[in-house]
Amino acid sequence: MKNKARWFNNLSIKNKVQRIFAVSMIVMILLCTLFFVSITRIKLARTFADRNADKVNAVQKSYSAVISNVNNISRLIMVNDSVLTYLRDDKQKAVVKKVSDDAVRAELHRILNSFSGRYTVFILKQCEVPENNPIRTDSEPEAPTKYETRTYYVNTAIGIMKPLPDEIFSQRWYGRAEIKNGGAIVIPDNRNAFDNNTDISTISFTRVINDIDTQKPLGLLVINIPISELAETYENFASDDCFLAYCDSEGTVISSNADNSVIEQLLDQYRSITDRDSFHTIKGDRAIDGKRLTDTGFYIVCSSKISFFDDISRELIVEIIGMLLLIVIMLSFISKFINKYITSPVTKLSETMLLAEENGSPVPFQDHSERNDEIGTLQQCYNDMASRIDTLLEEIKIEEEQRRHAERVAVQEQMKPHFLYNTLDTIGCMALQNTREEVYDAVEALGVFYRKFLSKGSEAIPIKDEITIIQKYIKLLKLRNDTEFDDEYDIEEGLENMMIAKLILQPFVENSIQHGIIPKGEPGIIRISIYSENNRMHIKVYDSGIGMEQEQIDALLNGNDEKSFGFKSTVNRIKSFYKGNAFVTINSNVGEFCEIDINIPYHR
Amino acid sequence: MYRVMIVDDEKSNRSLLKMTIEWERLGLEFCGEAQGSIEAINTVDVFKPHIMFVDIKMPYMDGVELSEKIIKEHPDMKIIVLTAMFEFEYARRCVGIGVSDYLTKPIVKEDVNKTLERIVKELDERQPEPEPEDDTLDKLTASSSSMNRICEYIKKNYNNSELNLTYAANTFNFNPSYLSRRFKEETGMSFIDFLTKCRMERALELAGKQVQMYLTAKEVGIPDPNYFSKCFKKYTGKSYTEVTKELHG
Repeated sequence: MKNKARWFNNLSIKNKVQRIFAVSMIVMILLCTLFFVSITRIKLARTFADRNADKVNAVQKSYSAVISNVNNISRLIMVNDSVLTYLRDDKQKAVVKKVSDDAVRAELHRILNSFSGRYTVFILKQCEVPENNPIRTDSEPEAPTKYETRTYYVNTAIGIMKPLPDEIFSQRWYGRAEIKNGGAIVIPDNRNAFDNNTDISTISFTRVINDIDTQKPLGLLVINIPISELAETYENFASDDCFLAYCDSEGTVISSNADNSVIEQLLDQYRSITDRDSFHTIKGDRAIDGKRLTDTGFYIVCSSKISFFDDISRELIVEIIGMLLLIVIMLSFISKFINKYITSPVTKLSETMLLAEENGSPVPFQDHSERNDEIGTLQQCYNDMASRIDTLLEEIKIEEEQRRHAERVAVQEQMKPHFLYNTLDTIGCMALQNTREEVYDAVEALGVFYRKFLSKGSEAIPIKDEITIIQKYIKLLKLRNDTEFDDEYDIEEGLENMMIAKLILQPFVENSIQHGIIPKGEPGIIRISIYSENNRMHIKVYDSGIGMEQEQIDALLNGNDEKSFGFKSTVNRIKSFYKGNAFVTINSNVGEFCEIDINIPYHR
Repeated sequence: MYRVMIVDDEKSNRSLLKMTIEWERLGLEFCGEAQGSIEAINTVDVFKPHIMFVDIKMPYMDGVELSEKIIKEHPDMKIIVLTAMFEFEYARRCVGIGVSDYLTKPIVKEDVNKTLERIVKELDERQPEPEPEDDTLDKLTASSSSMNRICEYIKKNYNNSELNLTYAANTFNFNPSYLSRRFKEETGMSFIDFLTKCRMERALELAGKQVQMYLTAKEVGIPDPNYFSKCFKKYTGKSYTEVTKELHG
């Protein structure tokens, strides 16, 4: 897991974005598909359930139409005079035969002809007839002597179908019809009631025919409805995937569009179908519906296969694929957008930044698109920073250059090569002139000067040593110059061993002689005085030279030219040695004198 | 025999150079020295050197400026510049303006003599300049009136520190040496003495007004107070301070 996280962190932003997008794209597509499938499934199931119910209802309606058709027929038969007469005849012990069987049959055919449907109508009656005096239905009855119950009937038969009176007039059949008191019942299983020579199976619609006047039962009307009539009621709704069936409460299939065994298996599986008035379930890929037909105790069973793909319209699939494509396109577009406007510029920027390492200085970012967003700001900032750094580097370079120059000048200042060379020339000259004592003095002065001057590299020096340096310096200078001048020293007693910043006097003395006394061309005086006052120490260099105008003084103290460089660097050295607590002032009268006052802290 | 002049503000340097040069071997002759550029301008026409040593670092007028002026007035003059190591840039500039050579300080005897040897050779190879014919110049007429004009010019322009014989000759289109001779014939004084006289008379005036020496020096066209003081002493026999005191009293 940690490795994965590290792996991901190590990826470039571009790759990260690409991977995130790829993953989210896949997840999105999967989720969409899943969501869509489950929604569609639920919706489909509902649709199928509705469709099943609709089918069942429709079948029921058709069935009711058939039954009511039959019912109508039965009613017409029941009130038919010939029929009634026929039945009444028998009640009068079949002595007088007023209506022939054929006449009744003709009536029945007339009635049936006005209806569609291939029904078989039986009109049955039971009569007391004399024994051993068989009466044929179409023969005149003889006077009975002994009576036995006989069954007579007329029928409109299709094929040969012979009623079996024992069954028909049993309690199971006639009894049930009788209870109905003229109402109709439907008996699905009539195999025991008829001797059927055809392969046409039927169900029986039956009712007791009562005398209109007396309301006494006269006979029984049975209308056999071929199963094929029932099949017609569902034919239109059935298909290979949708099984429709009639069955009875025992679970016996009466009619179905499929293999009966399949339906029976189904009924076995769902016993509760025949326990309730209506039944509905969805199991697997099948929706199963059941409904009891109230007048018969039949059940209509509908089992349809929920076929997922067959039922989704092609347009819908196209739409889904289109939508997924749209998602993919949109995501790639967003990815492209992010890539173009965020990751690429960031990558470029970081590459440019990396270049800085190779180059040693930041490389400005070249971008031709003017952008005002955050990335643009970033680039702008970076460029500003880069140029700023460039400027700074340049400044540092210049500063470094200046510092080096200053150091070089300072070293020269310290070593005083000009002074040294000139002095050496002077001594050489003296040596050639054979003035041995003077040569010795000069060499000694030079030795002392440089020994004190360099003074083991320490920063501070006792005042007496500083004065010695000046004395030797002036001595050497006098050897060289034609101009005459005197040097005087006025040091407050007790200050000789005070430590002060090294070599702060010599540059001022040099300045006083070169620019003060020599230009005057007259014998002059250099006076060094050191004294303490109010916890401060004053070191003054006085010369009786030409002096300076105030502008010259300002230029010397604040100027930036080469001429004031040595003077200024000495002032800065003093200030830095005393950490700013030191002041150098110049007091002068033009043509008379110049006095430099070094004011430093005094610590005993 | 070529004449050599040394211009350096330090006496010891001048002395050392004098002692270093092998005069006889090179066939050279020391003709004079100057303590600064101003003195050199005033005396160059008197000493008439062929070779001039010029120190770069001098007060009032530095060696570069002096060299420029001398080369302008005396194109044949061989100038050797003396410079400290760290004034190298100056030296390079000097070569640019037509200086013959430069030597770095401290002076090395061998270098000095080698350089002089080379320069002497150059002078030897040069076509000897035909001495201007006095007769022809006579015909060109330098009348006494023109000498008067020159005197007037000096009296007006003595405070120009660059004024000397060659300067005046160029101004009036005379040959310098001819002018020098004619001037002396007419006035009984050398050009430089006349100029100095004008300057010193003015200096005496200023001394009477208690003007400080270095200011007077500048005023009369000798901005180098040391050279001024030398001239003043030579002219009056007293120092400027003494004269000031006398006149004040």
